[in-house]
Amino acid sequence: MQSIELLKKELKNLIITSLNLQNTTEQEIQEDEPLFREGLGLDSIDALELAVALEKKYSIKFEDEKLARQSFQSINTLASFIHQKKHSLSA
Amino acid sequence: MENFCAYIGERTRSKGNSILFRVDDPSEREVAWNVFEQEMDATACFLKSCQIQEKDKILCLVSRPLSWLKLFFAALKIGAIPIVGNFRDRFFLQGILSENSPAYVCSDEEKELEPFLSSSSKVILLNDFASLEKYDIYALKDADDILCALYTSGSMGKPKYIEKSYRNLITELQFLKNLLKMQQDDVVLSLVPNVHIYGMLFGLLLPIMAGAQAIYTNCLLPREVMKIARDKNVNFLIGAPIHYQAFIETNDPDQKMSHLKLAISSGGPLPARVAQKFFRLTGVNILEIYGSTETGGIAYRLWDGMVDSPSLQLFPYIEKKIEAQSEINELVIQSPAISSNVLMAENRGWHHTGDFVRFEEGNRFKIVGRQEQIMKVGGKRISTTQLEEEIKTIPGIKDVAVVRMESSSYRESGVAFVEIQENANLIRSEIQKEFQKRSANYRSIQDIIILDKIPRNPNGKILYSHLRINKTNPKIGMIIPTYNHGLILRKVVLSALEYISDILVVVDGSTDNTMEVLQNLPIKILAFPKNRGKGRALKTGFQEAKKLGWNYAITMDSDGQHKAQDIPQFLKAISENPEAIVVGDRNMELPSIPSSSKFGKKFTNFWLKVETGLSIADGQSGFRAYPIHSINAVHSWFNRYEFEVEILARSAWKGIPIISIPVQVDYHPEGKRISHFRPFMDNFRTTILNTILVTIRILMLVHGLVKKVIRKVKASCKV
Repeated sequence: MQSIELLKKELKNLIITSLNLQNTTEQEIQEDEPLFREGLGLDSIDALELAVALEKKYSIKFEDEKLARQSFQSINTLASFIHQKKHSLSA
Repeated sequence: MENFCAYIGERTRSKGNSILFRVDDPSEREVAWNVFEQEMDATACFLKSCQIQEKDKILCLVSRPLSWLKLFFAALKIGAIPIVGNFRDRFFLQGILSENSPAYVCSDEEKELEPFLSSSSKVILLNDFASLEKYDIYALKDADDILCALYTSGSMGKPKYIEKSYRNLITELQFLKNLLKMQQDDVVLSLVPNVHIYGMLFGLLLPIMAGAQAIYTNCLLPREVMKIARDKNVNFLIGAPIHYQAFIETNDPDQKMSHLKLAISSGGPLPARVAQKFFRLTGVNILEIYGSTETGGIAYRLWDGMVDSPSLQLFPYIEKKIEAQSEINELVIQSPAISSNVLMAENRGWHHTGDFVRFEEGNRFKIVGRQEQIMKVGGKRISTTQLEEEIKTIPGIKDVAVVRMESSSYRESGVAFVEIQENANLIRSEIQKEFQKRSANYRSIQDIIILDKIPRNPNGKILYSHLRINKTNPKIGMIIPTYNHGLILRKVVLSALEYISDILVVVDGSTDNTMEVLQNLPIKILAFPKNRGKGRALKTGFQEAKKLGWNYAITMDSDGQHKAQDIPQFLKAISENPEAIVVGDRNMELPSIPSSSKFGKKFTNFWLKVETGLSIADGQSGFRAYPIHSINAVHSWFNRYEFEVEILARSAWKGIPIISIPVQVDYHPEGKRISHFRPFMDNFRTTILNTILVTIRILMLVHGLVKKVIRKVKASCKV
């Protein structure tokens, strides 16, 4: 099982590449900062693009809209959501 | 009836308490026609009590969809001008305050109003007003007065301010109502916010005109959206390309949206792959609308699974201007739907879309390219020249060129190539930080690359396309096989160098001045001591390309019949179809084309169809793009012209997709052009090839059949 720190690093890079944020560096994304509206200032289309990319990469499914929204709050919440999903898959 | 609120009044009387608008988010809410009219009237009274007059501009900072709707229509009803947009950008407020300070700013949240407290605009907090007064007056406006204004999305850069008159909107709506055949009992589900012109027209005004029910949802997940579509018996779906892409990638077996009549896509180009797969999965056609916030819809096409890539059909009320007598023109239009403030700013009476198109019969066209300087970002246009100006203001920058990158995403972005002043010691991250600080458009630049020198042609013009190829990832190079074309070869190579920086010329034993004319060119050369054939030259070229680390090779003939201007089309096709061989389909209708070539094309295509079952538009064309790794795995026997036919058949058998794109062709009048294609001998050799290929094909089919029979026999034995 992949460590959560590694996962966060991976997520930041995925956000940067899939949303054309090459201007942003990994270090600039704060792990507890809101990803949408404030912080990186992503919008709902970004969120959808990111959701599609995450589902593909981690073979997970976002099934519940409310849960998905909560998990999209920050890198931290997103990492723990994916970690949990992967864990429950392999369990 | 030059006030949309009148439609609401009318429908209230005929539809009463049926649903007008529903917001499908976690706190689902809905409102009936009659209730909405009451609330709209109460809001109108409230606005009037705040002294708002006709033609006053009201900036609407309300984010809850239902409250937004009330404010929008109440403002229309009293004749004020609501200004709407997605106001979340940190650069946004500065922009409004400096360029366009509205008389009023209205919100239902106090904190939204704070930035305006010190401005000259009056702030209004929308209270919960209990009064349900009637407001019976509809402000009467002239059709050309401004009805409302939109700011384009600010999340990707500086928002643009666009005014819309009643005529602008109603012209398009009346046409759309007929095109979509929207009925009064239909249900429309919109995934696009109403503050976007596309969402406003399709998701709100059109349903209101038709008397249909409008649902807006900000649900993101495709499964949720499909669930709403099923539960609420949705007939029309309004989405952006990314929504459809998400749909097809969900792979949900439960995808049936049985009431759905039509899906609509706009806001960016819809990839063919997405449209075709959506149709296969759901059986629903996608109507794609091409347009912009400035112009509204310009053209449409229906993805109905019949044609691989349908042409766009101009909306009937749009007039086009053909500026030059050439096959490809910039699309320049005039229409009652174009915002007058946009036309006025352009000061020409005609709107230049920046898109290059090829017109067909009946006002149909295909988009074949775009002005180098225009990027499309989420339905908005950003000029790279403007970005260059912004970057130039950073101290220490000497020269800069912003290059638009081809992208399959709806959001294009550019790469900035910069040249630094000698004494300055700028590094990339510093430039990025500075740019981010001073520009609202910083997200439109995906990368900054420092160069020693920005390449310019002898006239000082930046070689944009050259820069673009430098940045392409995967690596794409060009192979030009040549035999005794010394007269024109240098010109051919030079024109290609304008577009692509990695060129490999394979000299196939030329006995003329070929080696001389290739001197002092920044290219790679492979030379055979004697003539071995075009096929051998290409095969050797592909092997070399692999060594050079290329992922794709574009091949072009050396006799000048192909136009380097078509190279960007290949790049685009490669990015959209990374697995495929891309074949340039030559337009053979021109009178200057020798009839032997026309025959050759038809002859080849017939055989290819027999051999592979594929309809390939132009199986003889040498203007192609090949994916290197898969093409090197395809074996072939032939080494001359037949190779190009053979390789298509064999690739098709291997399952490599083959697609066609239109290319221009320039055959010099007979006599001047030196072709080494010998009509009789080469068509004869091709016949031998075809005989062999057909034989193999038949053997393959028989083999398959035999296997099937054996399987059946085995199966029946088991029983």
